[in-house]
Amino acid sequence: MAAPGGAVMGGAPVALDEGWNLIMENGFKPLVATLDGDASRAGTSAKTWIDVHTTVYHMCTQKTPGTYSRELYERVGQALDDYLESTALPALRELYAEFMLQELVRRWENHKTMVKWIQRIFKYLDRFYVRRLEIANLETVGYTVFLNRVFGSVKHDVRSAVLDIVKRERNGDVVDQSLVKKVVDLFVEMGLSNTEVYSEELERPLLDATAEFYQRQSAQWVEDDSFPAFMLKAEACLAAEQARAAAYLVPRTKERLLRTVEHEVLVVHQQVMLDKDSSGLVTLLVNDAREDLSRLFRLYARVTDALQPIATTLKRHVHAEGMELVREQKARVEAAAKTSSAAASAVADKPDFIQALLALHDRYTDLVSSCFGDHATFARALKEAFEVFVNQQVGKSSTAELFAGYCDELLRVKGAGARMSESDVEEQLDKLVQLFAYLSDKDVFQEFSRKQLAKRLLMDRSHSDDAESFLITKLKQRCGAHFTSKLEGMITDMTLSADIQSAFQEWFANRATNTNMEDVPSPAAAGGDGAAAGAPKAAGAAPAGGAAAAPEAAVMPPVQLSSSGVRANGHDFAVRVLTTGHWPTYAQDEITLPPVLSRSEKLFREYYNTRTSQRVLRFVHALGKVWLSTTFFAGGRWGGKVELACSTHQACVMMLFNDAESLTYGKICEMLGLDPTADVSKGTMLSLSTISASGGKSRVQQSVLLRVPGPATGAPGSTSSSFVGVNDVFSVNVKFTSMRPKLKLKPLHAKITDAEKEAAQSTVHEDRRHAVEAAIVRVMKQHKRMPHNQLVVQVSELLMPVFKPDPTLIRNRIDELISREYIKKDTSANVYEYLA
Amino acid sequence: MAAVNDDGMAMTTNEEAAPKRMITILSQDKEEFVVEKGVATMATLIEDLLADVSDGEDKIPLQNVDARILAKVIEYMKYHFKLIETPQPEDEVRRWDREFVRVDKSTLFHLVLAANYLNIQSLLDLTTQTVAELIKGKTPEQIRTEFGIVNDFTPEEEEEIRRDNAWSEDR
Repeated sequence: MAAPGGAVMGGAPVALDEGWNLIMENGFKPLVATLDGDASRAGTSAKTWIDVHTTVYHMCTQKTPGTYSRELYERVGQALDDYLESTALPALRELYAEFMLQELVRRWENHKTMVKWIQRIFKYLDRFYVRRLEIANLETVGYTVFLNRVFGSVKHDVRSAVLDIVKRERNGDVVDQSLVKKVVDLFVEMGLSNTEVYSEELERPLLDATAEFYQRQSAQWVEDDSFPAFMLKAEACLAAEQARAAAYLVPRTKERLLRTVEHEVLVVHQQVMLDKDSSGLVTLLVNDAREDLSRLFRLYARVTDALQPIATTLKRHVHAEGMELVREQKARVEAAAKTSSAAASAVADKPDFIQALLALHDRYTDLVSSCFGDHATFARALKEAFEVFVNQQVGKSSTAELFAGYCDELLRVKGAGARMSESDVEEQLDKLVQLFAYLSDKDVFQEFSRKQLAKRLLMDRSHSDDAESFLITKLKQRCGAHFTSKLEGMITDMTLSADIQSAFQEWFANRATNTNMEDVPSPAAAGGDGAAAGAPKAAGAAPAGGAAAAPEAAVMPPVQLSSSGVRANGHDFAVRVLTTGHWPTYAQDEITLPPVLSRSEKLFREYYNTRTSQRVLRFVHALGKVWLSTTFFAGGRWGGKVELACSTHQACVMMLFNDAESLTYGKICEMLGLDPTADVSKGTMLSLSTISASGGKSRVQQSVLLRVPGPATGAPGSTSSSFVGVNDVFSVNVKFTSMRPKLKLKPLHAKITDAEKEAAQSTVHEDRRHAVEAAIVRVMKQHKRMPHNQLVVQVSELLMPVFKPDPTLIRNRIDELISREYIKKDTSANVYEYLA
Repeated sequence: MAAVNDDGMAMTTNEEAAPKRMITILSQDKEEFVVEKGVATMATLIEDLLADVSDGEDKIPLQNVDARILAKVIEYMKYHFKLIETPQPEDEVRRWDREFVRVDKSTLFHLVLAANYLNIQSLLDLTTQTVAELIKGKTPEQIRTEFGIVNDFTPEEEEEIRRDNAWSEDR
């Protein structure tokens, strides 16, 4: 586009030199004088300005002798260059260090003012000439001239001066930060809107100098200082560099500067400092130096990948501490084992070890959360450390077993938990479940805690329903619903049993009014503690329910004589119905109940069949509990009337003595339909009696039955007090005295016995075999063909949440499935094939 | 322009309280025009000058623009300056602008020159656009007549130009 104009109104054509001289004399020189501080020539009048501007206008627009745009454009650049070369540069060369920087900054400010003036006066060039030719505008020309003429010749000196100032500041001098800032800005402006000049000429040398400085510094610190002191210095220098960057560097440099310092100070020496004797990370952990540890995290969290070495050390340390606990526990168990195996298992069952593990876990989770910001790297380190020693076998017990034992301890009446507040118990359970996450044998824990829960529920030994359901909820959150379904089922059974019991009561009441059956309780019996006095009588009985053939069978454990029970046959009676499958498997135990109890059992069966015909009821008498009112003891303050709390078996034995003075063991077993060789039979008798001949007086008085060993059967150990022979004669110990009107006979074990432990272990093993088979089939069904190793890996992964399968177990199960023709082996490729 | 509002409330606001700086512009033929600074600096030339000339007392002695044209330019600047404070509908502004350039050709050309010299981009656009419209749709001969231009091309030159610009003839 051509510039409009050309016809100059009332003006003669301007010759090049004539015009240029006018511009120089009236415009450029006064300006230079002003900038150089020559006050006498300061200021330009409006007239002069208009003259200069109009001259430029004419020179750019006149038709004759032609426009001088190109000449003006060239001369302007030249004029600026000449000025800088003749004046600014010599002035700069005379000066050094800060003085030179000050002069440079002043010269640059002046130059910018000059360029602005040039831009305004010669605007016509920018408007048309520059635009048309698409060449550098006047501002760029002006800056370029400065860049080439001044900056180019002094930049090395300028850079050294700046680096020197920075170094002095690092060493503690107070420096003119605003001056440095201006010089830094100058480097940026010299890039003419690209950052290359700044990056190359200043930033990189600065970063190099920084690296060198801190290399030397930190090497010294590593020599002289403890780890905590080192970290303090590191933190201080990072803060100082950050402040420095904010004061006079461009924002982008800040990050690079800090990265450089972090590398030289933190990264280079990290391992040395972490491992430093007497002040390294392990020492900090041992001393619980929270402040230092927090600082450690703060510092190294800034650096990529720098947390891993810390986590590794932490893991090693926690692992060592944990293994130490395991070692101590093993030593304790072994020491106790020298006394007896019972002592060993007593020591093993003590909650101390688990509590120590919990305390360890507590301590380090708290540390990771308060000092290490709950960073995932550390959570992982803890997990890996704990997974190792939590899964160590201690003595005979696996930790999973001990975990379950501790749960029981917390939840059982008279356990440690009973003496704690509700919230403490929940806290402990919560922590336990957290720790539980590290267990690889979760199924072992599951089996044990199921048995223990069963005991607690059936024997009313749980001190808090809330705590029970709290534990279940926590386990559910951690391991999923399938893990707790049985436990929940058990709790549900207990609730349902209460409903069934009241329905039974109602049913019974209606039945009583509608019929006039023999077994309707007599009004006389409705009193308190049972039926007619005289001979020993069973007052209350509570048969235990048995599991049934149907998938959801029912078991009925006892309820003691209580007002909520159904009062039938002259005794109170209650049943708990349990679903087979949720509960541990209880042995089938046949016992001939005394008529009074069997009638009640029949009654309940009758009622239960009105509710459902789908389920089969099987009574588990071993779990039954009976309250007996007795009258046959002569001694004691209570006139012989003592109420005995005992098991169904014990009650059945006792009630035989309503009609007989003395009975042999063989006879008793015969009458009750018991196997004389069964442990439960012998145990029952032993729990009721002492040998009259050998027993001391005090012991005799504590036992309700007396035993006279019969003629030796020839079996070894027949004289031992724990051996019962079929010819042993039992009779009521009339001298029995009781300190209390109500007495509990030796209860069933509330805790898990060794036999039960073995049973639980074998249940677990059995379950694992099924689980592995199921997993193999699932994987094979999905993939159809799969090589051995891959199959093992996939199966292991599937099972990992519950337990860590042994590869041999997997191999065995594969062979088993091959023999059952679920899969077949393609021997040529070592690949299994799924057979649908 | 009055420094104080008619209702006497002027002192309550800073903007209107300060007396507006007035600028005196001299036309080439020495006629004085006193205008508000904001109006004057609609011309970038004057804006630039004020940035460089420290003492604002000076009158600004323009060259190249006589009183007749300067008065016209100032009318334009005043109108457009006022638009900044009290915007008008675009149509209304366009209508005013069209009216403003409804002048004889000589005045129009002088306005173009003045707008260029004073560096008033919007006025330069307006006036050059108006000139362009006068040319549009006319043959070179018509344009010569319109603007009183003598054809100084030789027939050969003319033929050459026609060839070079053949692409534009088709339209």
